[in-house]
Amino acid sequence: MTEALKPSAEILYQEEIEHLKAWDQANKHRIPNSWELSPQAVVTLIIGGEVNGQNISRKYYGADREVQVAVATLTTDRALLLYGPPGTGKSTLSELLAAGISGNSQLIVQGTAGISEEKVLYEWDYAHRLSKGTDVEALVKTPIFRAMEDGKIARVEELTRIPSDVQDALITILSEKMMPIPELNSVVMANQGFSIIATANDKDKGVNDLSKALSRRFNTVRLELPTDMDTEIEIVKSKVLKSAEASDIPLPKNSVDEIKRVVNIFRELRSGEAGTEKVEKPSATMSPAEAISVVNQAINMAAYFGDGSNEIEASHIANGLEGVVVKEAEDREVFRNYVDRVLKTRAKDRDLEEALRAIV
Amino acid sequence: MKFDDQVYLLGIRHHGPGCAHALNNALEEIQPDLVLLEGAVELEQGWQLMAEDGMQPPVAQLIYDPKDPSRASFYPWGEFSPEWQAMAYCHRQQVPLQMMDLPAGIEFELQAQREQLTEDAEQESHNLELDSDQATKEDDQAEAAQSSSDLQAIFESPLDRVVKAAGYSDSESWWDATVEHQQGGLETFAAIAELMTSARDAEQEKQAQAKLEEVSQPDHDRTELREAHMRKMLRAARKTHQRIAVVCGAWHVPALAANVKVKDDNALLKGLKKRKVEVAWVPYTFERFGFRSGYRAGIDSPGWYQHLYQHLPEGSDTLTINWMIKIAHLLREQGYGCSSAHVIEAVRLAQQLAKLRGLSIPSLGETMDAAKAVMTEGEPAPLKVIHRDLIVGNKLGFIPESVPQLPIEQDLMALIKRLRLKQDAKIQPLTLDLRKDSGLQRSQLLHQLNLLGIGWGQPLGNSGTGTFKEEWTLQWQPEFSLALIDASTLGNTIAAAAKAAIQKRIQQADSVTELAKLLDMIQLTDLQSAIPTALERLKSMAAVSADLQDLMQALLPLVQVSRYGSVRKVSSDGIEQILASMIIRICNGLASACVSLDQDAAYNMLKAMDLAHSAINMLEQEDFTQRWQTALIELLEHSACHPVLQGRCARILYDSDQLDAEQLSHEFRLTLSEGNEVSEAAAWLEGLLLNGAVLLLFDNKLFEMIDAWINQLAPEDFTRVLPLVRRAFATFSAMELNQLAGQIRFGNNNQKALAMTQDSELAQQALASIADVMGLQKTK
Repeated sequence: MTEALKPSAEILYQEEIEHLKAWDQANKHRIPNSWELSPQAVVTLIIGGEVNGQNISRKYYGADREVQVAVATLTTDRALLLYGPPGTGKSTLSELLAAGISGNSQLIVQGTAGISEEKVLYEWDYAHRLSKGTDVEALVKTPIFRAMEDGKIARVEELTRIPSDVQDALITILSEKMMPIPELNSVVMANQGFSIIATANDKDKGVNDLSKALSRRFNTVRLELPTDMDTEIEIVKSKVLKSAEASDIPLPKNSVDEIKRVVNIFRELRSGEAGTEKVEKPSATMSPAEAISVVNQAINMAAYFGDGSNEIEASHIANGLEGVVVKEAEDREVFRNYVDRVLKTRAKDRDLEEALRAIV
Repeated sequence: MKFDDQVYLLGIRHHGPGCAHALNNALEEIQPDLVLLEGAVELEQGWQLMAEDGMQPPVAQLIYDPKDPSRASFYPWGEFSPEWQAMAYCHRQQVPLQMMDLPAGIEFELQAQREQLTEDAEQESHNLELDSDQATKEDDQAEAAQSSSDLQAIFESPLDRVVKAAGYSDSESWWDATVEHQQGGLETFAAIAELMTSARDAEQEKQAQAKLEEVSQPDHDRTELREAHMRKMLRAARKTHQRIAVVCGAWHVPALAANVKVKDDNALLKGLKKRKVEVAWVPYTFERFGFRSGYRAGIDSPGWYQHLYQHLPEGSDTLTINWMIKIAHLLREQGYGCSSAHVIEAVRLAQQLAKLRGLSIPSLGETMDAAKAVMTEGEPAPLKVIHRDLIVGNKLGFIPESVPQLPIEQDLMALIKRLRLKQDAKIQPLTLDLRKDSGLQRSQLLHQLNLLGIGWGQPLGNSGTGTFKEEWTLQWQPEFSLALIDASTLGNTIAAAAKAAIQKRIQQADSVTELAKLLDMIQLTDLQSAIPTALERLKSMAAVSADLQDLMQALLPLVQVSRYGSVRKVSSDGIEQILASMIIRICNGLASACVSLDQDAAYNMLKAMDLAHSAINMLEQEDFTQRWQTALIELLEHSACHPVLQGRCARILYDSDQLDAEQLSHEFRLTLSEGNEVSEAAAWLEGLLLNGAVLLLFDNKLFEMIDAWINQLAPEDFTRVLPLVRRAFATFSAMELNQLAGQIRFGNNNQKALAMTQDSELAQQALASIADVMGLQKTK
């Protein structure tokens, strides 16, 4: 039997969602029109908790207050913009919100520099138009179009990568809650439950800033890199465990130690402080998402290329680490200094230093 | 809560606005014939002054020991404080009011005894670094932690379980929803009493546990003492009054309701010594409600409380809307486009958030979260101003003149009288002779006041430590009384406050220069006891400071301290040693610190060099001077050094006879030779000429060289270097410039007095031009 590589959130957490629905019913929570769950239940789905004796897992690690603001925003008719550096879980949060609220996290428009207005609003099936004339049948509906019709949440990823003129096509949708189709002399009205969750990152170069008119239609929730070490370790651990489980790979014995080590290195480079010493900062963001990929890669290497001891070796980490830290030419020197000054002096990191010396 | 037919126990949260409303309503309902208030007994004297005409909260009652003014506690009241409302009720209804807490006189005595104990203990262990300030501070903190919010203790207790069962996330939100966001009445206090009783039970278990583990609990003992006193007062009141309303911190309600034997209470309170204290009314600021020092402080959001108190009666919508409008106004002042639509959306979001968080109305957290998401695009920085101006607020209370004064004010008035100074709103000049005691003391007072931010006297010019004369201008401004009140937290006399202020600044200083300036300040203000701390910090900082410029700038004030200390009868042993190590570091590091500097950095370095030079000159120590000169010569020959610094080096060396005219002109020619970049040459020239034209005036050779160099410049080069050369010339005095102009006009060495000549032909020409310019008819 084949399985989806990454099942969508509403399928992955189906059981928990059902449980929360029962909880809503039992407690007579007020549920906004066309929502699947009550706002409380959506928050619980995301940040976890105990409901009627069953444990709901935590799916997003970050400030719980921000999650509450996000959910409350969607109960008003405002759209939500999740803003922050790459790898802080913007897309994860957006997916979970859509899954919890609409039961469908798949209405996605991926923002790119080359996207056109047709991909955002609607397109035409020209064969149909030529053969049968311009009618409703000839419309090719975009995810946003469908979300409006069905009263669901549409997701726009990387909003700031979309050219400004195309961005502005969203203004009417967000303020008037409708989309005119002049060709048919008609409009699509958004049904109750429709909203947009957009994500944007503030580290990218060459982004198209939101116009004032558009940004006024969004409530903005800023997601930051985790401030404390334990949270970050927790984030990486939970994701790594999940993906190891999904790909059916045995978890190496020293995974947790290696996660701690990688997170620690990331934090030191990001903050420019290693213990009492100052170190230079590389240009890379070094988010938890990247830490996850470094560890995942190491686990895979240990499983397929390891010596059978079922342990992550320093060399497995070294490759991924170098790829994440060294993004520009100058980073190489920064990283080399770090390896020589910091890793070399720490007995427990000596193995990693040796593995890295061959690469950087 | 109705305790029995005679007594009502009304448990409040200090400074809780909802509590204040509930208390007002409850008092109206009870119609007591006596109100007992939790507050030191001494506060009873003069509480009626709160109703004095012109009294505007926030104000505070200050209790202090007149013999030992460092022992003091503030009792701040805002309009939203339930205590204030209780007092206002009593005044309005002519109901007698009694304070029932342990007398502050006893508290002070107990504090002193505790300090004595620690002192003894420390001396036993031969620890001579005893710091009584520290002890008081710790004491203050303990007190703040204990009394500031009895509620905090509850939040940390297992009570959370109780409120969680009722569907609240924690006791804070229970409290907000049940008390602060309501306009309750008597029934509110019944709920509070119930909650507190279960909280105290849980607490008692903890205490019992702690006792088993033999943990010492001074705070716990203190609370017991206070509660015993309150019970005693209540028992006495029962004998004389029929309807008694007891207003106290919610935490104490179960203790007052408890059935404790009279004998036990009396045994606790027996034999306590009491000091004689005085009480004063002082204006208070919202900002200081936030300081976690003193009694019942630690209110982080007095501005919000005030808003809550004011607008609660108008309903929750108006409350939130008004608050959001205030935020929008402040954001607009900062240049954020914040429309009415933003306000509407933010209010809606705040309301939804409150629902989601299970609150009856949006509280501060919800409104701020909403404002951040809607108005500032998630950016937290602009909201800082909101925090300062709105949440904390900049409200200042006012005490009418009819009310007696603060101890530090009294101290200042006494000093002013003794030193025969006069407070005047007009500017007054003052010249002081530091050799006379009266002059010295006046100077010290003015410096101390300056240190406290009371800029009554401004020292004129550079009246440094080196002279006997000091020139001042004096001007008294009304806002100084504010600064005075601020200073009163530091001490109850000007000298004590100034000492605390300088200690604080020494601790906070993060550069050697700053510390050196502080040392200078210590001398000016006669606060010698701070010298050891300052020197200690200076020593450790000067040893590791990587910032050579910082060291160089610090040199001069330090030298002044070591040289002129005697003028002011100040000793400063140990400073020479620090100076020596600093000078060695400077001389060794100078060349490398001057390499590859950009324009701005080079000019800063130049200033530092000048300062260091005059400092080393002033020291007159052969060894140092020699080191310095060697370093300068090294720098002069260093090719990677910025030309302006090299010019300066040449100048300094020339001035101190280390470079003769021949060598100087050699250097000069090298730099100004045609192969060099013109701008570099000009920078060199600037370094050479800065501050003082004497060199140019009296050194013909140099003058001629420069003259020749300027003459040979191509027109476009001239335009380019003009600003640089001008900058150097701008530092010359008007007289020097005149002389220079004369030299240029009439050539070198031709400084004859201008002969009066009469040449009618020439005069005619001039007249013709003038007439032409003025548009008159030409004279033929």
